[in-house]
Amino acid sequence: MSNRRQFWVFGLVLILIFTLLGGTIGFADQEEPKRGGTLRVAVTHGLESLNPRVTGWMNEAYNALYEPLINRDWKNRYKPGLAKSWEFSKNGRQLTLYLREDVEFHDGTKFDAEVVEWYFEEFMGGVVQYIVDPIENVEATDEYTVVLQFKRPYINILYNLSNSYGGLVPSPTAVKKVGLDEYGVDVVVGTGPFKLKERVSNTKMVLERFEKYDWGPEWSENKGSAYLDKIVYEVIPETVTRTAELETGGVDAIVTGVPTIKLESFEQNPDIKVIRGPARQLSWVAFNMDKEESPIIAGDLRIRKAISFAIDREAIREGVYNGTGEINGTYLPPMIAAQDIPEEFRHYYDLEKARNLLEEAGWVDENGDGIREKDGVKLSLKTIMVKRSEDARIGVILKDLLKDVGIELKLEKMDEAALTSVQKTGQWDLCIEDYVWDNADILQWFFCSSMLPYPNWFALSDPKLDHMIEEVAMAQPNNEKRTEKFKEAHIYLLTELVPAAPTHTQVKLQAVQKYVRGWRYKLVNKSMLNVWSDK
Amino acid sequence: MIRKFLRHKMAIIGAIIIGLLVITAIFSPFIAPYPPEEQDLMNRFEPPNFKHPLGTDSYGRDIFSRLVYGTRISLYIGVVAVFVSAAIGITLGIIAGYFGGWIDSLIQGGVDITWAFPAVLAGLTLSALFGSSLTNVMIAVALVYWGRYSRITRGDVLSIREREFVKAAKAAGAGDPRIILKHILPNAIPPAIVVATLMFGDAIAVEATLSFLGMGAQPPTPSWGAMLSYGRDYIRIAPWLSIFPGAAIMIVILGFNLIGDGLRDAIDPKLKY
Amino acid sequence: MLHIAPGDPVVTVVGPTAPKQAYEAAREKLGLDKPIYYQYFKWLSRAAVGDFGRSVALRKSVNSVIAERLPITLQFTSLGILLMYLIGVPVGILSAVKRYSLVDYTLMGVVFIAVSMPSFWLGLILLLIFGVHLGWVPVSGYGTFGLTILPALALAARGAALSARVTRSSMLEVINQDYIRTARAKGLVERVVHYKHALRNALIPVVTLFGMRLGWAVAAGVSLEIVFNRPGVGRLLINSIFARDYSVVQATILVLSVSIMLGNLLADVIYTVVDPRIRYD
Repeated sequence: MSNRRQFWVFGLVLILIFTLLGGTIGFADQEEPKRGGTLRVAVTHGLESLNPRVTGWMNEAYNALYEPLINRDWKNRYKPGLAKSWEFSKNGRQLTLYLREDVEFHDGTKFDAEVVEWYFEEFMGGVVQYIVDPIENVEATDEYTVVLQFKRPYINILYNLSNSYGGLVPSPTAVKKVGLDEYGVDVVVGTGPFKLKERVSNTKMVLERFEKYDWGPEWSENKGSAYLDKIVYEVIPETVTRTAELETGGVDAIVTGVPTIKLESFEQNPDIKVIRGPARQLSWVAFNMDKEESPIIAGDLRIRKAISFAIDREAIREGVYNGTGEINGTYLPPMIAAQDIPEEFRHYYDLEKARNLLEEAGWVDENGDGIREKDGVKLSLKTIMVKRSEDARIGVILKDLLKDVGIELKLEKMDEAALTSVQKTGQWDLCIEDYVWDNADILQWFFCSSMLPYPNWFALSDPKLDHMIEEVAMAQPNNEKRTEKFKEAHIYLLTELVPAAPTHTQVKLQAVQKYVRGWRYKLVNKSMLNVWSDK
Repeated sequence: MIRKFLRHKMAIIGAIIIGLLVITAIFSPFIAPYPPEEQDLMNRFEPPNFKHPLGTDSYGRDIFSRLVYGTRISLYIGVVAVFVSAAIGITLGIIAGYFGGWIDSLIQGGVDITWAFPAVLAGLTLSALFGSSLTNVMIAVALVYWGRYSRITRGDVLSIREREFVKAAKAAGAGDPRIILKHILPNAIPPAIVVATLMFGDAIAVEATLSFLGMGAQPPTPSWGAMLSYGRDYIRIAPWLSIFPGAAIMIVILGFNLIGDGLRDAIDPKLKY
Repeated sequence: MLHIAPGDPVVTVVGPTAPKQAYEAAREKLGLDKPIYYQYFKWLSRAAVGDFGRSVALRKSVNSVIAERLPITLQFTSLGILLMYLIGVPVGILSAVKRYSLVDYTLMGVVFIAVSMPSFWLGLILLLIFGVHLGWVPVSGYGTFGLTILPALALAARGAALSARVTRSSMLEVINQDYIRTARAKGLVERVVHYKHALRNALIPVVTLFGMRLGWAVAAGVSLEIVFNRPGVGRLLINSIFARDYSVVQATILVLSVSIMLGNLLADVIYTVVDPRIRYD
């Protein structure tokens, strides 16, 4: 009898233990986020201002402080943001935004249709002027509804209002208090899960949790206030220092400037987690299309093609990016639908083809010095790039590669400010540059004559292209047709115009300590809402 | 004087270092196993080995060969900067010492202003004005260091001017230019040589610092400072990229300092530069 | 003053894509439409009363930017300058006292190497050894002593070496003079007294070289701020040169130059205090 009872007691204890264990295992699996703690984040550049109309260089701090009118989820699909829903008219010339009614700014003022009207009519401008250019009229029809009228079908406004450059709405009260241009230096007021606590010009920035926040977006697991107490952004331009800080635990994350050369050692480090985003940064060798300034390059399509086909893109991928990223023979990163064009139109490495094109164009090495000539002129090209950058490293390899086909490059490395101004003067032949953008309208930005002289510093002016992009592709009322038309323009550019030789698309790399949880790569509008520290 | 210099063992070591450096600069193409800009992407970041005695960089370029060619740039900067500043400094020093008066005060004022002003800061100012280049580095060094020559030359001239042979020449009706060229200049040169030797090391250090800050030589020029600046991004995985250029800079400066010290003891032990 | 290098501050303000009217308006607002000499004198007259204008890139008054950064620079450079003497002078005395011994030769060998070492290179090596490999001090940032000691050491090395050399040679000079020789004959106690006397005299050239050390420290500090990621005035200067932020460049160069001049003035004053002979001259 007693034996039997003991058996039961034993069994019960066993069951209890298992349930408890199972419970804890389940608990560990779910990882209940911990509240509190400070996250120290290293970045390469400082932000001159946190004013979206002033600066073209953004980082994640923007998305912790502000929220976009239209958001995007993990898969980059359009989702509600400050606008809970929206509606296009059939012809694509009118958009109605229905706004959230529960949102408040850090300064306690209310977010409503009046704010959005002010945002489009008064705030937008400066570097984001292009977003509002197609807008004809903005009207708040009731307290939480805004209607936008466009000059032409403007389906791409969804993209513009959901990417980090546009759609971020600041508090009108705060902006009016300090002025349109002063805003963003010391005063920053948005609706995001973090508010600005302190900013030491261009070197350090401290954000703290906005306690009232409880309107987290649909894609976010956390809909309430943020887990972290504070986020400290530290600008560490030196690569060695930045990586050493991560390895010694001085910072918790590197969000920009993870050197590809350190990737292997980071991945082997048990304390560090590497996050790889998609390939999104496109590098190319731009051609000066101004016949006055660069007669050799602008004057002959065959030279431009020859240069592009003489580029061993694998050598660049290996030598500059240490085997990361993807080689690219088009003008768009692979994440854009219009990049997906047939193989035959893409540029690739073919020395024979490059040499033949040059011969055909009349460039031959007459004096045996290894460099081709034509009518006594040497095929020697002034090549500009930003110094101490990956572009500069491409330049060094490119010089070596083009020597093989008898082209001499004179490399001139300069800082960014000087590059912009030399691009504008037009006194260059080749320019090694890169861009980060995930929409086909970048082709208009760089190549349409309406964008002369800047951002179309290529000085390309081709009426047929202008028509293909601006009159046809950008005016399509839906995205499938828009992609088709952009593909046509893209192929035309790659075969008939060749304003650049594409080389590579680089992946986005971030590195965080293992104890940083909930950190996932997100293309845009990552708000740090789900990040927590398990330290 | 020469014997005194030779007694100085350290100075001889310095002379050997600099002698080797000069030979390296002249015969670079014969000494360097590879052309300085030749890339070999299959052999990147090779640590020092038999094929590449000092390893290779991120383009597979041979560090040793680049350092060998870099001697030309370092010496070139040093020579030009030192000669320009010496020429300006000695001339102004002689003028100040010989003529005295307001010219002297004016020149002395210039010396005082530039005396403690760092050449690197001058170089940064010039870069802001004209953009980065090696020419700026040389101008910056000359702008700041002429005062060093000027001050000692002036002192020498003041004492020489009162000496009998100069007075005699003057009494014999020799004109100022003749006295300066025949009697004063030859006496003012030896101490200036001491300063020049010590200055050489400084000029190379200034070039290295400015190139490190991105305001001097631009890659792919194999300037040691620029190599070091470039290599520091890789210091964790390929320390030889920055250790060797740094060591080269240090050894050359050391060489010039050793010679300078020896020369100072031999020519003018009291010289306080 | 600074308008020949390519690059355009107006672009920094309005962005490269700004329409022509916005560009012209900003240019006028910044006063860049006026002739260069006019701009320069305007800047000078304002600077004379302590107003350095506005930073184009940081969008703040230059005064407030410099006020933010200057303490960071002062912190490690002042420690560095202090270390120059705290290390250099004792080493020099030791060498002089133990002259022509193994200790003397070793110390002077180290001194020669330290004099020849570029400070930013030394900084990089210190950072690697103590910050990364040994993990004794944090790698970057500012504020605590642990964070200040490495850049201060890198800054101090060359100055300390030079001070050691000067101390040694001037001590030797004084020791070899007659009154010391007689003192040595008198016994140990007096010998100590007279070594003290020798030291006092020997320190004069050490003090007079303070001005040059300071100038050098300022320049070395710029490159060390880059190596150790210190957001001080030096890094501000470098960044502003790249950003064509002329008002900041001018102001930082002015501030650095003035501090060097003040340091020299201070050295002159100390010199007259330390060396009584000066007053009789």
